[in-house]
Amino acid sequence: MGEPVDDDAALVQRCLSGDADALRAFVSRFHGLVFSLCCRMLGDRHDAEDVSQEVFLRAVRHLAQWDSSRPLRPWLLTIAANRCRTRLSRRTRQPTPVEESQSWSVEPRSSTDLAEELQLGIAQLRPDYRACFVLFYQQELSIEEIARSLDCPTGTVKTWLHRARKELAEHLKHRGVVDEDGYELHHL
Amino acid sequence: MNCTTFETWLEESVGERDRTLPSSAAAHLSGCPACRARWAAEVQLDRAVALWQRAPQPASEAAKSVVVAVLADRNSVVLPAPRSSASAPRRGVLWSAVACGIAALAVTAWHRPTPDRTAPALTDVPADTLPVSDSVVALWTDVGRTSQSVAEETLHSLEEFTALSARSLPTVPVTEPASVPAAPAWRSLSEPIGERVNTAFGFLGDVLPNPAAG
Repeated sequence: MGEPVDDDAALVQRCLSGDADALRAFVSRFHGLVFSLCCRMLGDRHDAEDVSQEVFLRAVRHLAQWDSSRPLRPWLLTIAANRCRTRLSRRTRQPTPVEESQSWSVEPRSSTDLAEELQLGIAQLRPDYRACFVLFYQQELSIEEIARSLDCPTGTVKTWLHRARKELAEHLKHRGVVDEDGYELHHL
Repeated sequence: MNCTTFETWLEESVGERDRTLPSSAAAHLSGCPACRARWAAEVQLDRAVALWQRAPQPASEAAKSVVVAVLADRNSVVLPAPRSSASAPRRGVLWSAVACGIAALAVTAWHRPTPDRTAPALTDVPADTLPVSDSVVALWTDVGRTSQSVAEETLHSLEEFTALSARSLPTVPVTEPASVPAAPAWRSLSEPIGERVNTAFGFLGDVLPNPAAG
């Protein structure tokens, strides 16, 4: 094993020089990040694993194109988000496993249920909205970083994020997760 | 603030992670049940998002397989694997396709009418002076040197190339080498590529086993 590398740029340099240990470290360092994004966006573990592998293959092939003056994480997340969008676009009109698991009963919800319901709602968002939402709330990228990642204006990202939130709020309401009392002013 | 400007504010402030209701909006909400409900839904959504962010993520054991794939991919780029014997048939098919393509292009290019009516007809040009003939000869020589299986496959492909043989090409009988018992379909290509192509193809008759001779 080579020396551990804390700095992303140094790690990338070692990867570019063909250091196999550096490549292992690179995957190990960022796999969780990429996999969690893929899980959130795709809602399916197997798809997430497939796409995660695609992301790393693509990232390693194009490592030389990474601008070392910028952080590596958003660059990698950009690749991941785009691969997920591509995968989602191939799924058109096909029911996802998440959608198949839906039931329409309205029952008292625990906190876990609320998070799961939100994930169900996210799975029904269109890919652009979903990418914005996950990048903003899970990966905590800024609006500007998301705009760069998705190659669109910041105003568009705001609009997509706003619409995503609106659709998700409607979803929670429709699913009975948010009770009528939630709409009273005293809850503000 | 009214309902429209409240919705605009919601959109404009969506990038703020801890947004608070401005006093003007609060004043509007106090008298507008619809916007109150809208804001309450936003607050509920924020609560759901907070829970969703803290929800445990499914762990993946696939990191190792990703490493393997990445290393294999890198090696495939930097150090191409040596060609195995199993790839020979594919190379043969490729050679055949290239040969057929070049032959088709040669015939098509020759047969295409040219706007220059003062130029001599191609049929008047000696086959030796057609540059494509040399290319075809060189190509077939290479094919013949590659392997007999390639040659067989190529010949088979040419015989199936009915579109080419069906073209209105002049069909001048060609004197065949004695070692070739029957005229294959590609012989109808004939002039003007004629003799040079036949010379090139002729070696196939020499190198292939003669079915009539057993």
